[in-house]
Amino acid sequence: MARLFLFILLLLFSVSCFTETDCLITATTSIKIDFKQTKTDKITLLKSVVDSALVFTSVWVSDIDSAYIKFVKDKQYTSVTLPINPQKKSVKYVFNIQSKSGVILRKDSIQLSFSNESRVISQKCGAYTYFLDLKVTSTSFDSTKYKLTNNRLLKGVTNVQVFF
Amino acid sequence: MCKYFFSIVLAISLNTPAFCQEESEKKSKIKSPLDTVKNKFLPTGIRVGTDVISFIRSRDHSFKGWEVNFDTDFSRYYFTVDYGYWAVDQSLGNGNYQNAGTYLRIGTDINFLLKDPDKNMFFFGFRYGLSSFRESVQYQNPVFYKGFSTIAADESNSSLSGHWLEITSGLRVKIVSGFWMGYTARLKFAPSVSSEGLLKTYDMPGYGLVEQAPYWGFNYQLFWRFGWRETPPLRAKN
Repeated sequence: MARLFLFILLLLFSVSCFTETDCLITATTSIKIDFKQTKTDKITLLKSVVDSALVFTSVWVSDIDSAYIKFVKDKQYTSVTLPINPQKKSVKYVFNIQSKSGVILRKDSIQLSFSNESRVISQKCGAYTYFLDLKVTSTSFDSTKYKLTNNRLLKGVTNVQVFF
Repeated sequence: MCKYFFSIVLAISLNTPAFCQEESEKKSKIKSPLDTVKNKFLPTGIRVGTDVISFIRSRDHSFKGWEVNFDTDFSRYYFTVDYGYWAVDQSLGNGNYQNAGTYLRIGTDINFLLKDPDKNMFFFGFRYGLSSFRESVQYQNPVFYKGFSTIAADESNSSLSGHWLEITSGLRVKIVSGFWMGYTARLKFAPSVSSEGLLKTYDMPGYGLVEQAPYWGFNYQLFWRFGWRETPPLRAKN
């Protein structure tokens, strides 16, 4: 019995050593969108998802007067990280996509809504606004052509996959 | 014969009380062995204490608090109640955080020094904690796109309530008559807060940092005991 209590006491002390807060800030005011395509292996007929490289003539973000991404020759994107206005509850992105030959192929848009919460990370690290509950409210993409992969806006984390 | 009648009656009547007394003494010797179990679970007194560490921490401008402790004995079990106030005003890396509220802990300690006549204690126990508090934060964050204005937030939760559980262990040592000193180490876990708004609760009075579970607590306490009856005698081992 005495050994059991000694064990519990040691456990109490050892657990206390792991209470130091890490200063790891993952909050961001941007949304990461990946461009994908589904490929079918001709022999095995197995489907796989691979990156899709797109050329943009421009990408527009609501509340920004000029194009956020402008055309750069030979510049291709497999993903984009686009800003949100933290003062608003939604954002709209418009993609002007062109083929490699330069002929405009399509114009797509996606509108997303989100909410936010404040979190104090630690005294040293400070407090941050985290954006969450990301939802697609309207889009020109077919419902089978996009996927919400993460509804929290975190650094380096993909939120939406769009399939071309 | 007649002249001795009154003498005989007098002698018998004087003798009877003495005879009865002898009978009752015999009965009492048979019927009243030492009862060590009776009243064993009735409390013998109450100890009132306070936490020294709260007072020491209160010298720092970022913390204000106090705590009072009560316990009463039910044989080896001690019913305990702690009540306290806790207010934090911290400078953050990018702003300020404040909270203030009261908390209550109710639980039981099991004393493993049962035979100690001074009511010294080495104990293990558990607590259920309740807290009622408010909190607020003000801070600024940079934004991803420099063209948008920076985030300047001022969020608050005006009426929060929370609860948690604790496993405790500690010592109480009698220093002088009626005065004890000791410590209580606490392993706090399962915190829960209700009525949160846009601000996610950071620090709960009585518990500490809500996002950290388990969380460690420590009190150094001074106790004064007010007894109202003698401790029942211990049963001798056969």
